Amino acid sequence: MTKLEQIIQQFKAEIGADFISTDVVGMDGMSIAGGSADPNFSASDAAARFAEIMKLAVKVSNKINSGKVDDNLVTTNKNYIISRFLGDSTYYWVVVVTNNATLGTLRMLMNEYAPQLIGAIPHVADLPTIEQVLEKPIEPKIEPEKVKPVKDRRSFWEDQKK
Amino acid sequence: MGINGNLKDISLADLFQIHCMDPRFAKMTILHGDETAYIYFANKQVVHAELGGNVGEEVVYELLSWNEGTFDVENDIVIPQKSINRMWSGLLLEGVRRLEEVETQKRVNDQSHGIMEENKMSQKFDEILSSLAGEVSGYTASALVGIDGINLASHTLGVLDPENVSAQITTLFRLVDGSVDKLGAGVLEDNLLTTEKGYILMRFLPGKEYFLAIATTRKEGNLGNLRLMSKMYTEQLSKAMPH
Repeated sequence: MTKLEQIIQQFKAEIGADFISTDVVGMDGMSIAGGSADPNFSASDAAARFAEIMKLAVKVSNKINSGKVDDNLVTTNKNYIISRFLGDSTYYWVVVVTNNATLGTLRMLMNEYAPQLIGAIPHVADLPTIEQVLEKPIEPKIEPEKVKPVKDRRSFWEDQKK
Repeated sequence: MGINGNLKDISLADLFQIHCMDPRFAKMTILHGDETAYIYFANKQVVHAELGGNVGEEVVYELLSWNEGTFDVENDIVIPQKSINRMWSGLLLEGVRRLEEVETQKRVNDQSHGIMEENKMSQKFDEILSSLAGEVSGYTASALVGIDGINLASHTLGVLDPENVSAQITTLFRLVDGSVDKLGAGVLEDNLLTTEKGYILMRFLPGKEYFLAIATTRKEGNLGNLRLMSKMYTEQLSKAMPH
C-alpha cells in the first residue's frame, strides 16, 4: 500500500459509516488513489465529472475576478460532495459522504488531511497545473488528405492493347 | 310557423340576415339569463328592438354581443312601434365595428394589467433580495437567475456585476446538476463555490427553472448563515413566483 493510500485509509476511518467515496484525481480526470465503499457509486465517474466541474469553477472564478478556487461543495438530498484543489492545483481531491455526516467536521478533517495528501503525491515535474491546462490552446493535428494521382485512361480496351 | 333555437348554434347576425330576406312581419323573442329582448322585422328590415326599458338601434348593438340564450320567432304579428330606421346591413356593420372596438379595448386593458403584474412581481423580487442582503453576513450580491442564465432580479452592493456573475455561475450550476444526476447522487439542493475572495452559493427554487445565487466575502461570510438564508429566501421567492 502506498503512502497516499495509507492516508486515504486513515481519512476513511475517521469519517466512519457516512463515507461513500474519495479519490485524489489529476486534472485529466484520472484517479491516482482512492475508491468507493458503495458499489452503486462509481468513483471513477465521479473523478472524471468533478475534474470538469473544477476546471469550470476556475474559469468562472477567473471571469468574475474572485481569485483562486479553494473548493466546491455540492449538497443533494442524499450526499455531500466536496472537491478541493491540492497544492499547486495539479490534482484535486473529491470526497463523497452521506448527508448524515457533519459538514463542519468533514471540512475540518479535509483541512487536516490535505497537506498530508499533498506531501504523499508522487512528484512529477512536468505535470501541468490547472492554469496551464486552461491556457493551453487546442491545436488540431489534422494532416491534409493525400490525393492519389489518377492515371488518364481514354478507353479500357485501348489501355489493355498498349 | 316560426322557428326557435339556441344562440350557441346560430348567431344573431345570421338570424338577422335570414329574417331580412323574408318580407313577413315577425317578432323574435330572445331569452338571455334573466333578460328578455324583442326584435321586430317588417318588409325585409329590422324595425324595432326592445330590451328592458330601452328601444332602438342601441338595443340591437347590445344584443349582437350575446352568444348564449334561446330565441323564438313568431310570424305575421303586429309591429308595436318603429324605433329603427337604419338598413339591416348598416346595423350589422355598426354592430360588428362596436364589438371589435370593445375587444380591442379589452386586449389593451389585459396587456396593461399584465405589465402592471410583471412590474409588481419584479418589485417583489427586488424587495426580497434587499431583505436578504440585510440578513447574510459579508453579503456582496444576490440574484434570482433563470436556468438560461438571465437575471429576473438582482441586488448588489456594487462590487460584482450581477449580469456577468449570473451568466458564469449558471454554466457551473448546470454542469453540477447534470453530474449529480448522472452519478445517481440524489437531487441537487445547492452548490457552494469557495474561492480566495468569497463564497458563492447557488440554490434551486422548486421546479428547477430558477435559482438563487448569493455571494459573500470570504472574511465576513458565514457558511451556516449563508445556507440557512438561502433555504429561507428560495421559499419566499418561490411563493412570489407566478404559478
